Amino acid sequence: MKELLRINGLKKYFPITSGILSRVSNYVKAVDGIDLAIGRGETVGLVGESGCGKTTLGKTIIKLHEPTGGEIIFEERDITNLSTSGMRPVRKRMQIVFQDPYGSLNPRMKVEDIVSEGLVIHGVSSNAERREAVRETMRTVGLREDALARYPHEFSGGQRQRIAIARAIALRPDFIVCDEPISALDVSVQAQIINLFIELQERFGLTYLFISHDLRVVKHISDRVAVMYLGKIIELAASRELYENPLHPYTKILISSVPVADPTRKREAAVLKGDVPSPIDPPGGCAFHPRCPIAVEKCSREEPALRDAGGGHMVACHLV
Amino acid sequence: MDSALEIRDLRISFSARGKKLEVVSGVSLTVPKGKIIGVVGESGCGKTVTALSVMRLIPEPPGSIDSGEVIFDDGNLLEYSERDMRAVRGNRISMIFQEPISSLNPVFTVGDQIGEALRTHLKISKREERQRVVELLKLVGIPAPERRMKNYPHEMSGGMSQRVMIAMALACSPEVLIADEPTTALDVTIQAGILELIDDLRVKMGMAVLLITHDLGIVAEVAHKVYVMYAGKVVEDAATKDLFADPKHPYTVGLLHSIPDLRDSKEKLDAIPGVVPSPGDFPPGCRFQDRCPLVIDKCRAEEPPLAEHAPGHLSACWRADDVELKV
Repeated sequence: MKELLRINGLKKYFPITSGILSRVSNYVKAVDGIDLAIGRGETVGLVGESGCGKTTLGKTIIKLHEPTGGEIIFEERDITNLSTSGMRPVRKRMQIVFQDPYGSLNPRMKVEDIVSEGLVIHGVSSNAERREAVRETMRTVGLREDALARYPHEFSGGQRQRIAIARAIALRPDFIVCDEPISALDVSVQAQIINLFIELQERFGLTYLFISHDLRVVKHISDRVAVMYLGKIIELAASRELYENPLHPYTKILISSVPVADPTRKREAAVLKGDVPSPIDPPGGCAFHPRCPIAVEKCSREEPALRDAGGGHMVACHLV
Repeated sequence: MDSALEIRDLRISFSARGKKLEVVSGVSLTVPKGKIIGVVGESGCGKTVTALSVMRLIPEPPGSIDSGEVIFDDGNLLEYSERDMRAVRGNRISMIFQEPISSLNPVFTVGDQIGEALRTHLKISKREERQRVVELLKLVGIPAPERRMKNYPHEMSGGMSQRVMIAMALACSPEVLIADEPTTALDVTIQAGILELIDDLRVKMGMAVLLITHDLGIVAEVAHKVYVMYAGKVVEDAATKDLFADPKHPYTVGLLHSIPDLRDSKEKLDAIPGVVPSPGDFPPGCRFQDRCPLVIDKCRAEEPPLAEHAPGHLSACWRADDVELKV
C-alpha cells in the first residue's frame, strides 16, 4: 500500500495561563510525540477514553490546530509549516466529519450552500457544473435532491450526518478524519452511516482516520487500530490482531469492558481502577502505571517505547 | 413473583402547536422485586417519558398522562397528591439520569447534595448525616470519601459524578431504582464499573432496577428481562436469554444486526432502513411497517397486539413466528 500520510513525533500542547498577565504556567500535553503512517485507501481506527487526545490528534493532522512540534508529511510533502494560503490546495484534499451533526452545520445556510461551499471557495468550475456536482454528491450519500433547498433543522440526526458527509466528499478529497461521526446517532441509524462510510471508501478509494470511543464500531470499519492513552499511542496493530491478541494491559481492559450482546457469554469484566490522570502533569515513566494491574517498579521510572512485538504489532509496554 | 412496580396501560401525550401528540401508547411493564428490568429503544420511543411518569416528573402542561396506572405498594402513584409523591420520590423510588455533570448542582458540595436526600426524608442529626454520606460514597467506590464529600461537582470526573448520583439515589435505600441511560455519557472502562456497582447493590439491598438504555450489550449483561420499545409501544417482552436467542420481532432483530460484533469485520451491516416515525406521523396498523423486511398487507391495515408466542415471550407482530435471527 502506498503511503498517503505520515506524522513524525507530532505534538500539540495547549498552554495554561494564570494570573492577570496571563503568564503561561503549564501545558496540557494533548498529543505528545506520535508517529503514525497511513496508507492510501486504508482506515486507521483511533480509540481511547475521553480526554486521551484523540480528537486533538485528528484536528492537528489536518492542521486545524497548529502543531507544537513534529512533522506532518502528506503525499511525501512536508505540510507542517505551510501558511494558510499554502495550505489551501492541500486542504481541499483532506476533510473532517464531526461528531455532532446538530452543531456542525450552519443553521442559517441551505443544504445546497453547505455542500457547495467548499467548491465555491476552491473555485471549482462554473455555476452549472457546480450545481451538477452537488446533485451528484447528494445522490452518493443517499439524500434526495429536494433536500438541497431546505435548512439543516428540517432533518433528522442521521440525515444531517449525511449532509456533513456530502460536504466532506464534495471536493473528492483523499483523506477524511471521521471524529466520532456516529456517536450522536441512534443504533439503527449508526449502522446506515457505517455502511455509507464503507461504500464511499470502496467507490472513491478514500483514506480514513476513524476516531471513536466505541470499540465495536472501530473494529468493524478499520484495517488497523491505534490505542491512545494520555496523548500517546500505546498499541497499534491490524484490527483483527488487536482484538484477538491485545498485548498492552490497557488495551486488554478496554476490550474486555465492551458489553457483548450475548447473555450466554459471561465476560470477565476487568474493571479499571481510577480515572484517566490529568494530561497537565502525567505520571512519570509509563503514564498508565498507576492504574495498571501488572505494573512493576521499572514502569514508574522508565517510559516504554513503542516497538514492534512481531508482525507489525506495535506496543509500548515493558512487560510484553 | 412479587412486583415492586407495575405500569399498566400507560398513555402519555404532549401538546405542541395546538396539536396533541401521543408519545406513549398503552405501555405495560412489571418490575419484580430484586431484579433488573431492561427497557431498550431508540430516541423518541417513549422510554424516558415512561420512566419520568413513574416519578411524576412530566411537566403538565404541555405533557399529560391520559390513562393508565403506576402501581407501587398497592397504591396508584398517578393518583398521589404532590405531598404524598414527595415522600416517595428520592426515598422509596429513586432515579439517576444520563448526564451526571448537569444533574448535579454546581454550587453545592457533593456531600451537601447527598445529605439533602437524607435530611429531606429521614430525621437524623448532622453527625449521623455526615457519617451516612461517607458510608454511601464508600459504597459506590469513591476513594477518600471524607475528602471527596467536600468537593464541588466540577472537581470530579464524569465517572465519579455518576457514582455521586448513584450514592444520592441510594441515600434512603430505595425499593426501586430507575436508571435512565446511566452509562451512556461515560467511557466503556467506567461503564463496566458502574454496571457492576448497580448489580452489586441490587443484590445487597434487594432493590428492583428499571434500566433504560439503547445498548443491547448492556441489557445482555445485566438485565433479567427486557422490554423492547418502538414508537411509543412495547413491541417485545421476554426473558433476556430468550430475547437474544430467539427474538420474535423484526425490530429487535434489526437492532441486533445493527451492532457490529467484535468478532466480524468490515462487512456491510444489516442496517434498518429509514428512520423512526415521529409522534403524529404514526401510520395506521403496525408502526414499524415502513422499515420492516417482513411487512405484509395485514400490517398496514391492523395493529398487531402484544401476544404470547412462546411461554413468557410476547411480541407485537403479525409474523412473529417467521422472525429469524441471521447467524
